[in-house]
Amino acid sequence: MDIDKWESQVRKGVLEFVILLVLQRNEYYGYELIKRIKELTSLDVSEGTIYPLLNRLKKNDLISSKWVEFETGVPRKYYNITEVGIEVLRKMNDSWLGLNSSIQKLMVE
Amino acid sequence: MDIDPKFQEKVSKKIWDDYIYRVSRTIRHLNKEQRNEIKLELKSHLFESFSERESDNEVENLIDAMESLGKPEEYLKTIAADKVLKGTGKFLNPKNLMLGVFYSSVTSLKLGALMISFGIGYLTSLIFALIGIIRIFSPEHAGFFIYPNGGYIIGLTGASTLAARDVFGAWTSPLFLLVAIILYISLSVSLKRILKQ
Repeated sequence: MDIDKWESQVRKGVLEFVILLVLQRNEYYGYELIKRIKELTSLDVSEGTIYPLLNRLKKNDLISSKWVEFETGVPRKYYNITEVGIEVLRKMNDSWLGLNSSIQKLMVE
Repeated sequence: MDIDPKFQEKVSKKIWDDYIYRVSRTIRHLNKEQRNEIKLELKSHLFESFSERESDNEVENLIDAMESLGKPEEYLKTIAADKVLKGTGKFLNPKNLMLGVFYSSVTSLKLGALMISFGIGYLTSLIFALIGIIRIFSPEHAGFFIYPNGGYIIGLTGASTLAARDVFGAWTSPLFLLVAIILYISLSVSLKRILKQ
């Protein structure tokens, strides 16, 4: 079994959770969000993959976005978590803790 | 609003334009507003990524930024699929549905097989419709015919059917058209349900 492939799948699976966790702290635009995720986690996120995830989270009303134009003339699309997103994140947290606990038990036995 | 950086090297402009063209091509099935929004966000991303590179080589920085972002044909296909599926709306539009499956199927064998199955289904629906229509203009060459020797033809034929029994007779055309419509609607509803899961 290719462990790198497995690990990549696991990372992809948790990325939406990670995005919501980071956006809970502050609003970020796409490029900044990727950098922040890389700083805060060990996840080596492929930059392009963040955008379909942001799109899906926005479609499900977990995050919202707004365009902000800067003096440089380069606009940035900022994302922030919504009330619905906070509620879903709370449930994700509970699920994650439960799953982590179960796996820890399996690893110890 | 839109951004296109001012490059010092002509080749940098060409590389930038080529990448944006690839983005545009991947998302060409989305509506204009969606396309513009995605392109603008990716341009903004590339601009920042490129600007932060430390090398003095403009082309190298641009290529590095694009490699870090990835191939638009890969990372944008799920957005394209999602948007196309969402765009099916209230109308049973097999073109949008099949496009959605196509974009999804490049990473999923299961969906690829689904695409083939539904493709065959839509083709069958079309064939039934064609038989029903051609029957109106050429009744002896389209329909369901059984020969005295037990042989039969369902569909279109250039052979003589004078000796054969025309099973459905005058009902052939409406029946085949009805089957085509039922098949079309069933496939579209099923496909939409499956893809929304």
